[in-house]
Amino acid sequence: MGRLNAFQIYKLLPKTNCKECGESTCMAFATKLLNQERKLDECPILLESKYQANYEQLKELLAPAEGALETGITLDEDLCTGCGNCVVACPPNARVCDACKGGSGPDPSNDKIIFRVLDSKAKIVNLKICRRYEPPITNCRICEMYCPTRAIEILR
Amino acid sequence: MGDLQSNVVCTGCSLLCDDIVVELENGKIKTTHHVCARGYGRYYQIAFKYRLLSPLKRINGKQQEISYEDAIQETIDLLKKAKNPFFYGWASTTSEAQQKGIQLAQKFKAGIDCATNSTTGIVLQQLNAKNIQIPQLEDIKDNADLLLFWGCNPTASHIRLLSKFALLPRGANTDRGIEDRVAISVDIRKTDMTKFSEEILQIEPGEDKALLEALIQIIQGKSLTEDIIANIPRKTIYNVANIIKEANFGVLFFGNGYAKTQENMDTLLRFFETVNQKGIKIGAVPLDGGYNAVGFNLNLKKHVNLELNADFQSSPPTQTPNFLIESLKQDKIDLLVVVGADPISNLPFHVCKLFAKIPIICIDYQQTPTTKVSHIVIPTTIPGVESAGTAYRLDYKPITLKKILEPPEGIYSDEEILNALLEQS
Ligand code: SF4
Ligand code: SF4
Ligand code: SF4
Ligand code: SF4
Repeated sequence: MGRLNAFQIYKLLPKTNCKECGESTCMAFATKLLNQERKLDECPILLESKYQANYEQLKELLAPAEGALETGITLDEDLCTGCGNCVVACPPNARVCDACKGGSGPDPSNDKIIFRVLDSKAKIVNLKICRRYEPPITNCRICEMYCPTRAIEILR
Repeated sequence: MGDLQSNVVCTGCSLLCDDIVVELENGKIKTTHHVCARGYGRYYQIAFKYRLLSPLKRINGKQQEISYEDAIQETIDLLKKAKNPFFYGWASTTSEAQQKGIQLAQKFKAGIDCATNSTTGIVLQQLNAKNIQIPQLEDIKDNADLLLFWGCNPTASHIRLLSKFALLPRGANTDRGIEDRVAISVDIRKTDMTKFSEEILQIEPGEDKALLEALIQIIQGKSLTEDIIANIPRKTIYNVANIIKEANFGVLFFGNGYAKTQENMDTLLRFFETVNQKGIKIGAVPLDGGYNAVGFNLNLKKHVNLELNADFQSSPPTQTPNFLIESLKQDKIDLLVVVGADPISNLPFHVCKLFAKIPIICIDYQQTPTTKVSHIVIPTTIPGVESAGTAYRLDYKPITLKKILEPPEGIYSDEEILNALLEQS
């Protein structure tokens, strides 16, 4: 899938450039969606029933893990080798998961963790306990630092 | 969540990660947890796309399906007819299958050789002879404070090594994880390892020995006269030597990039001897080979007291350096049985050409370049998924492989097939 880009979003928009959303083109709206400056529901055309499938798909594409916007952490699954470095190195992950602390994979039922590797790709489960999200906020970049493949990039 | 199978062992590499969780649904694999990209194949694509589901025999130049019984019988007939049969492979199968293979070779007065001998086997034999220990991976996790990566890139070959054992995990005496450890990497090119390493020594190809010699000298208390050795400034070499001297417990991981010539091996052994004499604890971990390469060498030793390979035409059996290749060159093989390896993909072209006139019988669970050129192909189960067994991790620790799924109907394990060959011949 790779890192989400504006074109992927654009392809699913109505592509009418009707300006109802206040943007001059659908592409401009797509870019702002990507940057999370606009919300999906602000395109009225998309709420029409014939766009329902697109709407659902977009919703899924744009549904970041909680905290993704604030933390700026992005994960490109195409680059990820499932090495588990992020799972183990991330200090909060290790705090809420003894297995991760010791280098093993987390229990499937552990829903507090930030990262887990499923089908050989790292997934961001939730970022609520990320140091970039949970006060006191720090500029932690450990996951990015130890990701050997640059699959993780922190965008700010 | 479907049926959860925990503590599944991945046979993707010689780390044999034993924390894998597999979610099953209706007898199929739904999701895998913790498997890396290298191990993932055996749970998915391979199980479907390139899977072998029927024995094959080449008839009039084309591989055609035959029954299991016929495949076993044909194989026995060919083995009986052959003057110089040869059993090859073994790095990627269970210890139980390896034992049956050794017995078969003995029964048919055949040669037997392991596909990873030119790398893992030779190294293990020489380390053994000098009493140089391979530390347990758990010991590395708990105690190692220096990690030297020489001619290896575990981020590609042993993908979870850094997170599970070597660098990041917090162990009994390394409770701050990576902050309690120093990593140094030596390679001829930049690899993904650079991110983790305090010192990165990018040497000229073939200069490994010179650099290691320089380190040995400094550790012995001698001084270096040259300014640059192996493309590395003297100051850096001194720095690395000091890090080594100060280590409580270091580990030298070495892989493909450290050429296993006798000269290189001698230097490596001298390095370990030197540090050990100085009371510095440095362990050796070869990062090569199939998931159970170590098992073959152990089993052969147990069975006939040889480590690398065995020629059962002589009695007692003898060991030959580069046994397969030497036998091929001397035209001494007239039937090749391949188990747990894919020589056509892994051996150099000029060696593969020598295979052309020899009938090959290949036992594998998936299509490979070797099965494609084989006379008889016998499909088998995926060990650790569809059949159980034992494999030896790179540090000799025996690991029990679990069976989590029923194999496709009528498909047997390597062990069962080899046993049938033994019992019915
Ligand atoms: S309202 Fe929707 S369809 Fe109209 S321009 Fe904006 S994005 Fe495009
Ligand atoms: S930024 Fe730090 S706390 Fe947040 S996910 Fe990455 S490693 Fe964990
Ligand atoms: S550290 Fe990077 S490559 Fe490794 S599992 Fe995490 S995202 Fe993937
Ligand atoms: S590191 Fe090796 S054993 Fe572990 S999951 Fe990856 S391929 Fe499998």
